[in-house]
Amino acid sequence: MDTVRIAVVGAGLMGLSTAVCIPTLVPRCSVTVIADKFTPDTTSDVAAGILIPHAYPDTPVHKQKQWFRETFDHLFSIANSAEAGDAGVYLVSGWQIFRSMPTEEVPFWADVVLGFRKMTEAELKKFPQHVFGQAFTTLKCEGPVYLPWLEKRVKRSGGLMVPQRIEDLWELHPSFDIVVNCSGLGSRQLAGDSTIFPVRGQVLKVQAPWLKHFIRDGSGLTYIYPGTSNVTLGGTRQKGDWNLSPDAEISRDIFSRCCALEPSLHRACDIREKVGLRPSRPGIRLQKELLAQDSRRLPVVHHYGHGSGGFSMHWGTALEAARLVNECAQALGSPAPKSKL
Amino acid sequence: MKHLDQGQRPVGGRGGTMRVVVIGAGVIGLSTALCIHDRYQPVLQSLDVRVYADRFTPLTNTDVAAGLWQPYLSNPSNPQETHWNQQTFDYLLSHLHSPNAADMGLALISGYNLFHEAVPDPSWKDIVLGFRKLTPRELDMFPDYSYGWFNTSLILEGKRYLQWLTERLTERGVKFSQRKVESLEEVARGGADVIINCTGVRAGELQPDPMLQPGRGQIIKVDAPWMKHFIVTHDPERGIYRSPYIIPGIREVTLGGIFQLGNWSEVNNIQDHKSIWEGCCRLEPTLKAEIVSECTGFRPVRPQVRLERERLRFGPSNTELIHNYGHGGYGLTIHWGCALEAAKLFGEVLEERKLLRMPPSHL
Repeated sequence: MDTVRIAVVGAGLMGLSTAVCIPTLVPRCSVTVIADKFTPDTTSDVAAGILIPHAYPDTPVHKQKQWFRETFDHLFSIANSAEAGDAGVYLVSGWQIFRSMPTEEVPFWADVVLGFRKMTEAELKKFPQHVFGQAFTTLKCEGPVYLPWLEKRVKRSGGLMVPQRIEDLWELHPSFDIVVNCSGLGSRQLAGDSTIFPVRGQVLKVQAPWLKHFIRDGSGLTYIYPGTSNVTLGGTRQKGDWNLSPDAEISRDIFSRCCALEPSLHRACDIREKVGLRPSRPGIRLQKELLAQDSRRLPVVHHYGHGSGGFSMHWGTALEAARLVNECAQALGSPAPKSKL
Repeated sequence: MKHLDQGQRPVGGRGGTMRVVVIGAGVIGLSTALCIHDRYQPVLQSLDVRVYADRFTPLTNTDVAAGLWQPYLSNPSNPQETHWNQQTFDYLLSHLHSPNAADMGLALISGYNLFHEAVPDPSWKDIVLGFRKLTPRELDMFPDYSYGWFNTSLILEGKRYLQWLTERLTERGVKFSQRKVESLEEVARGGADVIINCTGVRAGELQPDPMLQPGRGQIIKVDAPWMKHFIVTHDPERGIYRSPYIIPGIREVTLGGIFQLGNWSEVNNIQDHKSIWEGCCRLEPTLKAEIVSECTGFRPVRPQVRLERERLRFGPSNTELIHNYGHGGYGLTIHWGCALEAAKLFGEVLEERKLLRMPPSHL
C-alpha cells in the first residue's frame, strides 16, 4: 500500500497534538501540518493552559471524563520526567472558590486531578467573599513552550510544517489523501460550520514570581494562574466578539478583580495584555466527513471546537481524531476503485 | 495618656533614655529589635535601640536558610516552642493579605513531606493549612518513598525579610553599627541598659555555652521557576536535614540535605555538593536546572532555644541581659514568637525599674 498522505490544517494545540498521534496509529503515513499561524501566534499560545475542564453541554460526560483523564495521565508522566522543562508541563496546586454554593460540590473530574478535597474554614479565610472552595493539584501546560516541543516531535517523526493559508479544503486535493481539520474558528469558513463562534478572552501576563498557587473563581471569569515565566491574570468571556486588540478598560478591571483575590498582586510588574478567541461550540466536533464534488472524494476528520477546554481535553481528543484518521486510512486501502483517478 | 505619680518619673538608665543594644542582625536580632521598639517606644520617655553586628544581610546565616515555615517533626523539649511557632505562623499569615507580602519575602507555598514508612502526624498539623496524607497517585511520583503529607505552609525568604526588617527599623530611627563585639562587658560599659543577645551560632564567643553547636548546612540555589511545591524528605536513620529537600523561594529554588554537627567549615564542600545534587535530582527528575549559587551556613543547634534573662554586674552598674539564641534550623519558623517573648521579658525589666506607668497591653 502506498504511503497515506495526511494534511493537518491548523498548527495550534489540536493540529500539533493530532500530528503527533497520527504516526503512532496509522502505518506508513506522511504528515504535513499546514497553517497560516504557528506558535507563538496561535490562540493556544494565549491560553494559560491550566488543566481544569470546561463542561460541554452537547458532549456526554463520560466522554469528557475519558478525554480529560487521558490528557491528564499523559501530561502527568511528562511532568515527572526529565522532559518536563522542555515540554513546559508541571504540577501546580491551588483553589477553586465560589461566592455561593455550587450545584455540584464534587465535579466529574475530581478523581482525575490529585488530592481533591473541600477547602477548610481556615483556608477560606483568605477569601472573605467566598463561601465554598475546592483544593487540588493539577497540571499546567504552557502553550509557548509545549507547542514548539510538539512541533519538534512532529518533525522528528518525519512530519513537515508548511506556512500557508488554506481558503478551501479542496485545495488539498489531490496532493493529500486525508485531511484533518484542526482550524478552530477557521471552520466557519473551511467546514461551513455556523455553530462555532468566538468567545473573546483578554488576559494579563505579569511578573509575580512569589505566587505559587492558582486561584480560580468558580464562575471562570476571574483567575490567577502562575506559570514558569509569568502569571496569567484573567479574564473575560465575550461571546461573538472577534476583536483581537486589548482593551485598556478591561485590563484595569481584570487587574482589579485579581488584586481583590490576591492583594500581593499590587506589586506585580511588567504587565502585558493578550487576547485570544476561544473556538467555542456546544460540543467538540470529532467526526469523519467524506467531502464529494463531481467524482472527487476527500475524507476529512474534523477535530475542533474545544472552547475554554482545549488544554484539558487535547490529548484524549487527539487520540480519538487519530483513530478516525486510521479508519479513513483503512477505508482507502480496501479494494475501492481508486485507480480510476 | 500616661500619668505620673510623684516620685515615679520615668527614668531610663542615664538621663531618661532607655538604651537597648541588640547584638546580632540575623532574623532573631532584627525581629526582636522591631518587636521591642513597636511595643515600648510609645510608653517610654525615650527609647534608643541600636543593632550591633559584625555581619549584616546578605552575610548572615538567615540569608542561607531556604525559609520554609516548618518545625521539626518531633515535639520540642520546651512546650513553649510550639506556642512560639504558632504565634509566628499566625503573625505571618495575617501579613499575607497585604500588598506588602512580597516585599517581606512572604508567600504561601504547598508541598510534600516524604517518608519511607508511616509516621504519626506532627504537632503542627493544625497550624499549617489543609494538612492531609498523600494519596497513592501522589506517592507514585516519588518511588523511593511510601508515605507522606501534603499541606500549605509559608515561605519567608531570609534575605528579603532581613531587608524589609532593616527598612522598618531604619524608618523608626534604630541605628545600625557594624562591629565585632568582643565581650558583653564592652557593651555594658558603653552605656547599654539592656542587651539583647541574638548572636546565634557564635553566642559561645560572648559567653561559653556547651549546649550550643553549629549544625553546618550547605545549599545549592537553582533557577527552576516551574517548581511550585516544596519537597522535603525524611530519613529517621540519618536525622533531620540529612535527607534531600527542595524548597522554591520567591525566585530561586533551594536544594539541600546537609547537617553536620560540630563542623565550622565555611567553605563549600565538593562531597556535600554531589550529595545534594544527586539526592535532589533523584527526587525530582525535572531538575535539569541552572545553578545560581551555592553557600554554607551554620544552624545554631541547641536542645532548646535559650530565651531568658540574666543580670550582669560590671562595676557599679547593673545591665540586664536577655538571651535569644539557639533556634537550630527553625529560626524563621519560630522567630516572631520568640521576639514577643523577649519583648515580654524586656517589659519585666521596665516594670522592675518602674519605667512603665501602665503595662503595654492596657494601651
